Order: sequence, then C-alpha cells, then structure tokens
Amino acid sequence: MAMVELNNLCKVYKTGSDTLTALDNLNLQLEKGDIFGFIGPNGAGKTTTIKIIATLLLPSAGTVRVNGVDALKEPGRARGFIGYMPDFFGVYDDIKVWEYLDFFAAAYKIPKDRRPGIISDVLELTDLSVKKDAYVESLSRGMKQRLCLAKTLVHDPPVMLLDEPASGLDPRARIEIRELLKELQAMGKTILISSHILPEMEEFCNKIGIIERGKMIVEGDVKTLAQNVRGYQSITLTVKANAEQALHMLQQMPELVQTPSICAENHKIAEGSLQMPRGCTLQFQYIGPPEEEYAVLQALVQAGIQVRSFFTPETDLEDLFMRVTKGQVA
Amino acid sequence: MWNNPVLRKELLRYKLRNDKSARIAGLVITALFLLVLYLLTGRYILFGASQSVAYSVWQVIMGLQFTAFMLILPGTAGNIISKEREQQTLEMLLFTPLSSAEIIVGKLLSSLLLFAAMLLPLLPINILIWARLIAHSTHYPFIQFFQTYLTQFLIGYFILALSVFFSNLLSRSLYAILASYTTLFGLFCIGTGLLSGLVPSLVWLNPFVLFFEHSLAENQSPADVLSFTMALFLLTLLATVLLAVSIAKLRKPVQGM
Repeated sequence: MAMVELNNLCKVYKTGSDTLTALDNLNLQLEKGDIFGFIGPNGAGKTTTIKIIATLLLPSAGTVRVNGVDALKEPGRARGFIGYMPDFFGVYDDIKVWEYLDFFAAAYKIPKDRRPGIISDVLELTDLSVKKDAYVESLSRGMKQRLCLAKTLVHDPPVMLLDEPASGLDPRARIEIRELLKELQAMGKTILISSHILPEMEEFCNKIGIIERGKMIVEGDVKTLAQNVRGYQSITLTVKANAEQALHMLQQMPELVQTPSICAENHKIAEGSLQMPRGCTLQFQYIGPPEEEYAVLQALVQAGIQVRSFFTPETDLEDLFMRVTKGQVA
Repeated sequence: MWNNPVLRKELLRYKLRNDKSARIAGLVITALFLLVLYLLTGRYILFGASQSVAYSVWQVIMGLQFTAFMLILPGTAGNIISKEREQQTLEMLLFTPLSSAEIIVGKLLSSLLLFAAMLLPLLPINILIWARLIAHSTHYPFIQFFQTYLTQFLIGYFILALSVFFSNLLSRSLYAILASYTTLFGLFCIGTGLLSGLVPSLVWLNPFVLFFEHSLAENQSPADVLSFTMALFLLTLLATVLLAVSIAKLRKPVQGM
C-alpha cells in the first residue's frame, strides 16, 4: 500500500475574471521508506501540493490518500499519520522547549505519563537535549528549525511533509538538518521534502520529482531520470594497466558506450570531486538500459583487464533541473 | 477543562518569567494589599460613615473596575487568534488533532480566567462593605452583590467573544482590536443610545446602561429586573453565537474552484 498517493490532483484559483492553475493533474505515489525530493522553481506548486496532502488546502479535483486514508474525506484521521513542517513557521517564544513539545504532545492526545519519555527521545534525536529547559526565544534559527522538526515527530508519524526545512540556514545548521533527515530515513519514515538545495537532495532522496507550472515534469530515481533526460549515464572506471586495450574494447560496444576517453592519472572527477584510486582513468557515456550497465564491466574483466573501480559519479541534479525546467511559474 | 492543551499553554504564557516581572508583580500586590488594609481599617468608610456613603463607595469601586475592564478586555483578547496568524503558529496549531472548538474555547477560557483573576483583588473590599451594609440594614439585598459580579462576568464574556470573533475574522491584530473597540463602543454603547428613540428597548444592550443604571442601582423594580435579565441573556446568547461562528470558520480549508 502506498503511503502517499495523489491522483489527478488539480488546484485552480480564481482571481476576479482570471483563473490560475496551481496544480494540473498531478500524480504521485510514495511507498514506505521513500524519501522524495520535490523540486521546482518558486511558484511551481510544491507548497500547494504539500498543503493539500496536509489537509490544509482543498484541491479543486483529484484524490489524496495518506496511509490508505482518504485525506479529503477524513482529514483528521489523515493528519494523524503526517508530520508537517511548513516553509514559514513561528514558534511560541515565551515558553520553554520542553513545554513547547509537551503542548504538541498533549494536542496529539498522548497520555501525560508517556510524554516525558517521548519529549526526551525527540530532543535527543534533534540534538536539543541540552536546551530542554531553555526558553524557545533563546534558540538560534537552526535550533528553532530542529525544534519544529522535533515537534513534527512527537506523535511518531509514518509520513513527513517537510517544506524547505533547510531554507535560510547557515551551512552548519543545514548539515545538522541533513544529518537529522538521514536518521529519519533510517527510521523508515516516508518523507516528502521540498528544497532548493539540490546537491543535498540528491544525497539522501531515493526519488525526485520536478514540478513546473503545476505539472510534474519528471519523476523517478535520480540516476534513471538523468539518463532519460540526457540520454546517457556518465561512468568512470580505473584500470591498473592496459588502458589502451580497455579503450579499444569500449569503442567496440557502440550499442552501449559512446565517447570513451582516457583521462589523466589521479584525475579529479569534476562532477563528483572525488579523488580516484591510482591507475589510469577512463570515462564514457553509457547509453544502454540502466540495469545492464554492469555488462560493460563484465566484458572488461573477462578480457583480463584489471579494473580497480567502476562507478557512476554523482549525478548533477542542478544540471538535470536546468535541463527539464523552463523557469516558468504557474 | 483543565486538560485542554491550548488553555494550559496560554496559562503558561502568563507565568512570571524573570526577576523583573516578579518585582513588578510584588509591588502591585503590595500596593493592593495596602489599599485593602487602608479600607479595612478606614474608620470613616466602614464604621463611621452612613449606609448610603458606604454604598456609594462600593458603587464607585465597582464602576471603576467595570470601566477598566471595558477598556482593557478588547485590547487583550482582540489578538487571540490573529496573533497566532501573525507569528505563523496558527497553521501548525490547526494541523494538530485539536478540534476548532478546543482551540477557541481554550483561548477564551484563558482570557476569562485572566479576567476573573483581575476581579479578585477588589473582592475583599467589596465583601467587607457588603458585610457592613447587611449587618446594619435590610435595605440592601445581598443578592445584588452576586448580581453585580455575574453581570460583570457575563458582559466580560460577551466582550471576549466579540474580540475572539474579530480576531478570527481579520488577519491583523490591529484591525481586530480596532473592530472590537468600534463594535463595543460604537455599536453597543453609542449606537444603542442613538437608536433608543426608535427602539427604546435597545438601550438594554448597552453594557454601561446595564451595569450602571441597573446592576448598581439602589432600587430595582420587578419590571427592570425582567428586562435586565433578558438583556443579559441576549448578550450571552449573542456571545455564544459569535463563538460558534468563530469555531466554524477557524478550520475552513481554502476551497478552490
């Protein structure tokens, strides 16, 4: 069963005689444990989609199911499965951190005797234990962001909707949020996250969707998308010796490989900025089916070439984003 | 009632947080204590003066207290929801499983409790004056003492409900507070006075008239008591309707086409 399922979701606003289509037949399906990166220019419809899933906005058409529950018919029940962090949020500055979390735990009808343990757990997870008795107003912006994330976790929701959770944070706070998201990922949460920090999204999202003018332009796993959009997948391999022979072999596989070339020794791969192992490095564009890329490796090994590494450098999500979007807003 | 998380959270916010506020509170309490002590021992007021002077003193105290509440309450309750909207906490509050009624009632109760707490400091003086009035004469019915407090409380409830309504309706606290003051003084105080030529019974909806001319009046005719009770009932009903509308409108998702 899909944890989040959107079918033909539409949202149209009417402003005077004009109509504005914020979402245009959006479809999405997220399984348990999926980390979905929702990417798009400002005004593309990301926040509208998130608010509709969070039952804070009604769609003009379409259906929304969260953990099997129809969020339009049973919004209260659906909200119980969701942890929601809006893009812009405030906190109650004049109470203490634990009081803030206790309030939300009480709001989620968590029994009083269980609340201290839960608060302690979420504070530890968000690395705010030392601030338990501090007033919320004394926290830095990054800490407030983590406190908001802690608040979304008090009822242990299986689905998390995070709208720009790292926006406006300094690099250190961004890294802290990223590490926290990785922990949530390890806990098996289904996370839908919108962000503009594309390299970080690429690091922990197993799926991404690019939305523009209310339409999902592409959706799927990052590498497959990159290959579909570009028509190839960059592969780098390092051989101990016989680079010329390896190059010749690659040139003999035009149905799978194009533009093979030998790079310098200890070459720094531009896309991934990785230091390569000692040996001779080759690069090529793989154009075959994504699941058969290792056929190339197998052929090289069977020909007696000693391969030290064979991998796909990190896909440049920014490049992918620029290729598929036109910078238009709804 | 005490399990309402919104009420508990709002009460937490009234807590004294630092030494400075504790000192100010200490000074205020001391000043009130001295005032009570003065009036307690004030021979002229409690023992030397005539019954009518003691009654007048009570009328002045209650009148000042009532006027102060009329001026303070719309200002304190007018931002009860709009402040949540302004500080961007409302969306997260609405996302919780708390019902709209729990949120509105929790907010209202916290204001009502604060209002009730503000009634307390002058309560000992009023009790002592009434104890003296009753001890020396049967002219002053003790029920009037309760009636005065009940009237204040119900008018306070009406003002708070009116303020909550505007706070929910208007996005800015300033506009909500201004609308609350304008409606209370413009419509219910001045407006009912101006229209009383056309509809005389409208004057009963004026909180000042209700309180000063009837609740504090020394002699109340049975007809006045009936009109007075009806007017209080109407204001309470109106307050409850305003609250019901606020509850219904609080969590209405934005509907598209």
